[in-house]
Amino acid sequence: MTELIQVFLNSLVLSANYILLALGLTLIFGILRTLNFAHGSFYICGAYVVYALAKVAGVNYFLASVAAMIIVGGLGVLVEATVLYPLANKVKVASLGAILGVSMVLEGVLAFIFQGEDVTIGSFFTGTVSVGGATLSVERIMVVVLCGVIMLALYQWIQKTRQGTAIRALAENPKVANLQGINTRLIRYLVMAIASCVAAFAGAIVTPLFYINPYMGGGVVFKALLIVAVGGMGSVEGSILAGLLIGFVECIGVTYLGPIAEIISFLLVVVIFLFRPRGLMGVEYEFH
Amino acid sequence: MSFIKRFPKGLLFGVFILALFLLPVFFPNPARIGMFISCGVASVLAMGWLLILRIGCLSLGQVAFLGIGGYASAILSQKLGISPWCGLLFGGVAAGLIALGIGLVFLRIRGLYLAIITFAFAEIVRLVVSTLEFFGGHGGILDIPKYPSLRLPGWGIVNFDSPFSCYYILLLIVLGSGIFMWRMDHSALGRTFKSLPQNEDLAESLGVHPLRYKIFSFVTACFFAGVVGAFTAHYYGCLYPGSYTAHHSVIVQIQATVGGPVSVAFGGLLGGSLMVMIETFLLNVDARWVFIFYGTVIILITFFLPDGLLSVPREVLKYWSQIKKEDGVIASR
Repeated sequence: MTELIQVFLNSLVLSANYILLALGLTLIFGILRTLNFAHGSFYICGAYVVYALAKVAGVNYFLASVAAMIIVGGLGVLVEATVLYPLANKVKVASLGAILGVSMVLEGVLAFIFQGEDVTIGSFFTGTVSVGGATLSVERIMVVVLCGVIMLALYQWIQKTRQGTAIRALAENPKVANLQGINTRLIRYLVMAIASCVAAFAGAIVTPLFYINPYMGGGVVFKALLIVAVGGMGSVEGSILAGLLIGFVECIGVTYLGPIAEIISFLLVVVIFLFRPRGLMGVEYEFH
Repeated sequence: MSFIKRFPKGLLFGVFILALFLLPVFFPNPARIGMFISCGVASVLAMGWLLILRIGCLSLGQVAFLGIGGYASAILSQKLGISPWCGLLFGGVAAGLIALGIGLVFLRIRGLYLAIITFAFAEIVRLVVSTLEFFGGHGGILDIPKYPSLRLPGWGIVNFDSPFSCYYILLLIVLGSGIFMWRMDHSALGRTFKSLPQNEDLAESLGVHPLRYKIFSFVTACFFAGVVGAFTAHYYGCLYPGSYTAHHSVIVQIQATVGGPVSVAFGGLLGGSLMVMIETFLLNVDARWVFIFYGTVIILITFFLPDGLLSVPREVLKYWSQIKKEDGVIASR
């Protein structure tokens, strides 16, 4: 029983990490119609800003997290303005290639600044609580709670506000949305800023549990892309569902079966694609 | 500027092939030849990527087939004692068969989903070889047999223990795959490939079976990737799963894009060779520059030369004729 609770919490932490990234990616896909390979780099940038401010410069952790979100959000807007928007009407391969380039440049720059070694941010919430006989660290619980709050806020924003409605309209049919007077340019910036902020938040809040190094962005973003695809590209609910599914399968598998479990989660993805080629909750999108 | 059109391309091609065969004479340094071998490997992968791009699919898993070829050949020669020369073929066949299997299922999916599927497949391959003991686990496979010496008529016994002799094996593979893909690209088959990304439904209504052609292109590209993978296994004598990560697939994409889809064979050759040469140079300075270099190059290429370096003569001609036309307009006033 105690082990089950532990595994459950660990699965939730992993799922929260995946979902936060996948949410940004799926929003970006819905509006910008591209796979944002630089998302993982934004995540690592967020983690390194917190590392630089909180660990090296000694700023308060929460202030550092907010600073990370602002800086990385700005970075996202910059990338959108300089790289993605000019390529918006070209073939898909062009924007994909360019965004891959952005992510590689960011990784290279981070490697130059931070020497490319593994560092830890360190724990900010200390102590443990015991639930039903299992000892759980406060840090992990806080991560799950904060991620849940962000997730809910984002979901409410998309479902309930005017801007959220505009985003959903644009994702569904850009031409008709434009005819209704929705400012595509502004929404693109907004989505990119929000998605980057959420990625930075994920980096700031989740990475204290792990080691960080400048090159880990690629692996993280590919996992998140898989989740977005499994959930159905552009679907927010699908991403949350798929994130939970993959997170739990992976964590439970690793605990009971060892490293072979990673194969299982990838095989699961392939099987899902076999039966639902557009993902769990996918909608039909037009591709170039 | 019309001399570009009139230039005897056959002669140029002959000189180019001759230069490739004489490279070890000009560069007697083993390290240099090692670099050229890496260039050849990258070129074949990039050619395959471009051939798959012809049918409108974006493959993010080309290195997986490199790995399948390498592991198949290494295990066959180690456990069953099959000669590495046959292993080259078996590596290709293994990669081709697996490509056929997954192609039959997944090439029906269109667009970006396929890119993600190929990536997931590549990761599955990497995880399988790095977790199962049969494939050597994380440590990979060591002590793979090298190429045995051959008795060639007129040459006596040729040993394949130095990079120089292995360079010629690879050169033959690169030329073979290059000529094959070039012929494929410039035949009726190639034109059918090109019709698929433009309008698949229209092509289908004209009697083209899209899946069949997609599989043809995919299997060809993966077969040659497998042959090259088998070559690297016996050349280096060891394999380890860390060289088949998603990062390497991305590098293949960048190299192919730099060469450009103007011509499958020459684009792959140019992009792969050029990028690997610069990469080798940068690795001697500082490995971190490699990331920045690849990233900057792909951004610049997509903005200023979306069809890659091979489109430079075409763009220059276009620019030139435009200037001429404007001059003509001014003169006629």
